Amino acid sequence: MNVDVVAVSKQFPGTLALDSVSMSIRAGEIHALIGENGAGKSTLIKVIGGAITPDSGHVSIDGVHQNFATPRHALKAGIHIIHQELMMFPQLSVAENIFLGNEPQLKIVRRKQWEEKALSLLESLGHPVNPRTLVENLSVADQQMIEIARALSQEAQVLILDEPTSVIAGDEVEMLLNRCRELRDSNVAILYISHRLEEIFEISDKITVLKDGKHVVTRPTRELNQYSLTELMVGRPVKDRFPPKREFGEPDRVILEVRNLVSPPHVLDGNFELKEGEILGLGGLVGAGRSELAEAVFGARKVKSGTVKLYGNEVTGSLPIEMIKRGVGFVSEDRQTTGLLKLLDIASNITVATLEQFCKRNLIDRHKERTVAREEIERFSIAAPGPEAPVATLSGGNQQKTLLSRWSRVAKLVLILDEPTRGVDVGAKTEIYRIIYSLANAGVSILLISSEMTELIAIADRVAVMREGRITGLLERDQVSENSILRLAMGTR
Amino acid sequence: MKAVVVNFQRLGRARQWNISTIVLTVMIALTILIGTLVNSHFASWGNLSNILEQAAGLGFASIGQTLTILTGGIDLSIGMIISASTVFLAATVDGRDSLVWPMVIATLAMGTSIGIINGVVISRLKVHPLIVTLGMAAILEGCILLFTLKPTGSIPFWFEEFAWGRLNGIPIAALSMFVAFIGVALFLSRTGLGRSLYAYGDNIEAARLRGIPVNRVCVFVYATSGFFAALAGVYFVSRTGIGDPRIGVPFTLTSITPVIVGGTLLSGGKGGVIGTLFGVLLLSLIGNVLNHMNVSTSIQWVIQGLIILAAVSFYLRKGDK
Repeated sequence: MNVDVVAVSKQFPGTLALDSVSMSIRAGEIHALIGENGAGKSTLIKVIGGAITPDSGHVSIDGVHQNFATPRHALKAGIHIIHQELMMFPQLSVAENIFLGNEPQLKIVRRKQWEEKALSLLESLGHPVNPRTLVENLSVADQQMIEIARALSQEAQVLILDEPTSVIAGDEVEMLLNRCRELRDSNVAILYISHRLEEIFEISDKITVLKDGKHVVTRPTRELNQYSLTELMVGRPVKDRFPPKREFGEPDRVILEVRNLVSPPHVLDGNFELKEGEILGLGGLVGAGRSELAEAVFGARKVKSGTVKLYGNEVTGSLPIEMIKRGVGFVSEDRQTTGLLKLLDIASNITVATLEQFCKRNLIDRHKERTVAREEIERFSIAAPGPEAPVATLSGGNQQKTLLSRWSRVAKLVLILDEPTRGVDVGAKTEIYRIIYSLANAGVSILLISSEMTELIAIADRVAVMREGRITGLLERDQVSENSILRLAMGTR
Repeated sequence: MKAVVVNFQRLGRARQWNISTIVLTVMIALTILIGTLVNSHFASWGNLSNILEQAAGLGFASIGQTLTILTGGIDLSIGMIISASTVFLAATVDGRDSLVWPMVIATLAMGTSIGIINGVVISRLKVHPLIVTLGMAAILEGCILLFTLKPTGSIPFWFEEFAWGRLNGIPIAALSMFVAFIGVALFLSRTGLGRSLYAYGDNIEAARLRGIPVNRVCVFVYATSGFFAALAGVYFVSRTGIGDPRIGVPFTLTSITPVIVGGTLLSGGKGGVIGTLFGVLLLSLIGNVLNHMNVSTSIQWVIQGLIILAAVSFYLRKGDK
């Protein structure tokens, strides 16, 4: 089966996620789709899979014009997708997670049969998991393998895999790639999305690059190499992507010290030291507990044992409001749900964490608030009509800069940044790096959580790596590399 | 640690029989014990069968409510569907033998249709079930009161058998209630659609992406809720002999209590009708004990409120891990 995407566009509030994108997926071919975070890859496959209706353009199957109204229609046509965000039912069992939705609704469920089939599927992938276990008790790697098993269990004509290997390693990746090759040889069309370029070169026949919602190029894999591909993805020579590495001596004053911090179930052993004016990277796979560790340090999560010291004073188990008063700021990972006050304007979003500075006899001085907000918009070069613009109308990058402004006003000592460049376009990324540098140069200590390895390598002074709730290693400046991070993150030698 | 894992695997296998059913069984036994201390005839078959017989109305209503809560929703129109059903059935039959069965079927169809409307509005317009069913309740209440302000209609004497009759000493109403509960329990655990309800309540976006027809599931759930509310209405007509525009009012809220007490998560995805059945039995027994102790209805409401709070805090603590 061949799938053609024809001039598809999709507008989301604040961003044009897809801008007239066209591409084709052919039967018996593994087609890789690459691009940076926010390039529009996930939106594109959701359009193909019927989960998102495009504003214009269409999808056609074997030349027949089709815009699937729901994922169900796409599935019936034989299009199966492994989504990047794990779409699981945590309170249901492994077997149910694999088979629910595939079988007719009124058929009697043969539990034993499902469980046996589930087990043999998982075994064939080299990853046996008890099919009766509830998914909420599994690691993300297990969950990813279940998603893969689910997609492979069906007679897919078109198989789309969105970052299937972001949380698995070694043999399991090999096993998955082999299955993909087998499927290709039996004439299935495969669209493969991954950040890992080696994988792309190993498996794909053709590569399509997306950038900022636009189709950049489609070429046979053999005509490309890693270097030229990265340039196509970023749209400029790689070396210009990050600001030059800053000069940074060996500070000795420890600002934040975290020892044996435990906050079940996600944080089992948190250990790190953050020195004055340092940018400490925190790497690891999705689900390793990095955000949870940061939240526990910030007081947003219950701490069971261990210590957090700020300037040598124990502050373990403080409330976030107390940490804020001590000069610790926290830009959270998900700006839509835990960051922005979405219905309010830019000024209110900037001042909310330091509101007492804008109060006279407990009433907010709107004039002062707006004046400060205007200065901040200038300082962080936020592209907005003014301090009263609703924050929801800004692009992802400008929303993130608004949050950076809010928290940099709080963070006199420590600023925790959780995935600060996620879903932000390339231009805004560079500006955010510049902001991070200038804060660090001004003496603020920064804890930078990032899943983008290149970002950690380019920006951080040192990198701590987490795996399954524990800090597994600390890499000094000259030890930081993609390999050394991955090794610690996956626990391989 | 190992013990915990084993325990969870058990839960995965027998979703509807969990720790809450054990706790509820103990509490039911305790209530019967206290009842016996208050009145030596409490545990007699005569009294217990009366309690079961009276529990049927609440039982039917809370079956539907369990399904809506399992999907993360709620049905606040249940009370008004009950009232509307009693008025419609009693007024149209009006004592005529030949009309009883056609009108019972029409009543059930009416309740189901109201539920279908709820489900369609919720799934198509993506409005929260609380608002949709609250609106539906207001519409129904208005329509009923336009039609009659006082109890109305009548039924042939023989139709009272449904609510009062005995089969070998077992109340027919209680028997129907048990059959309904067991049927729905089997449906939930053994059919694809039943499992889909859990999937819907657990993660609706995941359900949609993997091709579960979420809109149809939603319509089905509210249609079922409407059907069981209408069945409760039929029961009340059989029990009281008339159609009463106010009879359903308390059931909007009391149909939720046994669901919560029975361990179904208000956020959906976890629970089932077996827990609800135990909840219905417990609440009915407690009500009866309190009646024997001459406790006023007002105090009984207070006690019911305390039971809800106790149940919720108990389940929350368990969920904390």
